[in-house]
Amino acid sequence: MFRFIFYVFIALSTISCSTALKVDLVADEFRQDSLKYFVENHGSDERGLDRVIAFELQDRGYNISYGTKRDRPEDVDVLVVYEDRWQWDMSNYLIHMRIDLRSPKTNVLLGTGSSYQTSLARKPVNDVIKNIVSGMFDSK
Amino acid sequence: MKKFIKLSISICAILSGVSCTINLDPHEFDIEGIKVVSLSGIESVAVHPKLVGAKERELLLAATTVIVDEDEFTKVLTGEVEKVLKENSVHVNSDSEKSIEIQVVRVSLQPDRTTYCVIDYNRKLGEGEAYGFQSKAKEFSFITACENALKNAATDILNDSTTIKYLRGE
Repeated sequence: MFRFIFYVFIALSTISCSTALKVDLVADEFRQDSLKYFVENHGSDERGLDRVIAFELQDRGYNISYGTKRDRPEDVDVLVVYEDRWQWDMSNYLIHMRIDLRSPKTNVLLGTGSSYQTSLARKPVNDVIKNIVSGMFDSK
Repeated sequence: MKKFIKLSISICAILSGVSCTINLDPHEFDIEGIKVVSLSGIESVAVHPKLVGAKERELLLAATTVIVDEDEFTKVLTGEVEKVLKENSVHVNSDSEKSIEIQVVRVSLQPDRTTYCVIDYNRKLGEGEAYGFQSKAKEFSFITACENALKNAATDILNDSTTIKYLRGE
């Protein structure tokens, strides 16, 4: 019985502070300084994560703008969309974040990265986004 | 049997200090009851799978490692679309003038209090451009979530107005 409780405790402790970053390096053809990127706010994000993502990409030298769908320029080459999911545990934290690169014309997925973290492992939003963007855009 | 497998996965995930490895095989999914509004006026169509040729990927889901292969999802999704077309008296023929090409490009699992299964797929009609779509479902079991996401993808493909118009030649 004690052994059972011990295993449950270990498993729950492991799960409660786990993080998972799933990113693949974006193909070279979609990581070009000459391309125009647009980070699109999905409309229900009032925290301005589009701006955070845009600044991360700007720091890497990409030609980027951000805003809502209405702000999207017509000549965008790569659309950056994201999905943020928040959870409450003493305070709100970003449990899951996914960033996709898509073709603005066909919506085809060109690249993707995501991060998951539990409450005890919570990192600031900027760090989560930085890790995803780094995994997708920084050559090793 | 399927319930037993799901129960085993849950027990394995909870009790084990080390992670379990589960192969998420879409061929074992129970996909029933795909509803279509109307396929009348469609005579013949070819349904082609387009494989990405990727290797199996490991997805970490809490204490469980889930192995997915997008190409297997493509095959099952294509098969389901073909099956429903046949059930609705549409002749499925690889030489048909009208064709649908289906490619699953990404299967993702997003843990939360429940699990989201997200399927990104492309659909191409004839010689046109491929368009990207996403289907998702949320369930306590990631297997059921992916079953539902795949079912949603097939339902969306078969009820998409652009697809229906193209297949009818309108």
